[in-house]
Amino acid sequence: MKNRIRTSFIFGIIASLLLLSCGKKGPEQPTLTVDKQTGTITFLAEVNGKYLLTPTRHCAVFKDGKNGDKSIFIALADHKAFYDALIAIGAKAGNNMTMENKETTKVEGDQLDITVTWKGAPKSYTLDEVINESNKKPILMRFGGNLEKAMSLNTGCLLCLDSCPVGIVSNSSYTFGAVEKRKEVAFTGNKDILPADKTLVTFTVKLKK
Amino acid sequence: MANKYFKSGFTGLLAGNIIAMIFNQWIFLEMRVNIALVIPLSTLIGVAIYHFCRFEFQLKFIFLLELIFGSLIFTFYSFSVESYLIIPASMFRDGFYLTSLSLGEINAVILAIFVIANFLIFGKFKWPSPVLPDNIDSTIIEE
Repeated sequence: MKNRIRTSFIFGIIASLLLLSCGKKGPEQPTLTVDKQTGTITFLAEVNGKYLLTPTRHCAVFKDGKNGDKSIFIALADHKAFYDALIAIGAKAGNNMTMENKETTKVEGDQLDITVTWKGAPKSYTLDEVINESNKKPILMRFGGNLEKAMSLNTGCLLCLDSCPVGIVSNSSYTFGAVEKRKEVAFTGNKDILPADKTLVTFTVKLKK
Repeated sequence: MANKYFKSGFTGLLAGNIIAMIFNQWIFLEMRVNIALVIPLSTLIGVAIYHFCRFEFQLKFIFLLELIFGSLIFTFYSFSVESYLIIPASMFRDGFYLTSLSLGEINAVILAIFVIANFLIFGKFKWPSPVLPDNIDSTIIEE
């Protein structure tokens, strides 16, 4: 009898876990919007609490991409939609990064102004404010392009923190490998500013004037 | 019987967490090693070891694994106490692909599993009693 109770208890926990996981719904608002008149893109993402402590080279990655669980922000919009939105607002892609030159080349393309906010935030924050950069250099996001590679590898990368031949937009302050291979810099989410894990945040992307 | 299966599964879970944590420190082929499936797989292997071999893990071994896991978190994540709130939960979430749950929710589940596990596994342990057992003849002692 006691064994049955124990077994039931254990299976009860497992079943609850599965139910909890299945029952959650996504946000009701659109995950990405484009305003061509003001040249503004907004997309939704969730904070990934793991990267408030662990360094990563991924700023925002689509949740269903291969790198979906490796970024500070888990984007709810996919990389193709993000690329199309950037083209729609008139951004020019650099398309200069390749697998062969990635470690010696910085990403080119139009520079972007990116801010993040969430419900209850006192203001919209820049990436420099919500991301801790160990060398305190500014994060300079440029429209790399890379659509073909992004689609074929399906990593889901929207925003990368070092120059990338796959991510749609990446940081031109560093070449590829600066974070994970050569350990020149470490990026983590700023836990003093960012809200809790799984909080919905809104990214606003514009062309830098 | 269920107790023994649970003990083996829990040992596998702990071992999987340790392996995953060590692997996650590596960069292989320019990408951080993916730890998905290591934890559920090792849990399953733990259960299978008892099921097929009837091999029972020692309590001391299980306790040692818990200590190693706790120490690794502290060592790998900048000796930060805060890491205990984030790292085990994020590994559990990644390992079991529970992406829709928050770290707080996962922490509640982990706490429940640990409390149940330690109660089931260590709960029947009897501390030595200073009182003499009943079957000793008291007349012999008095003389």
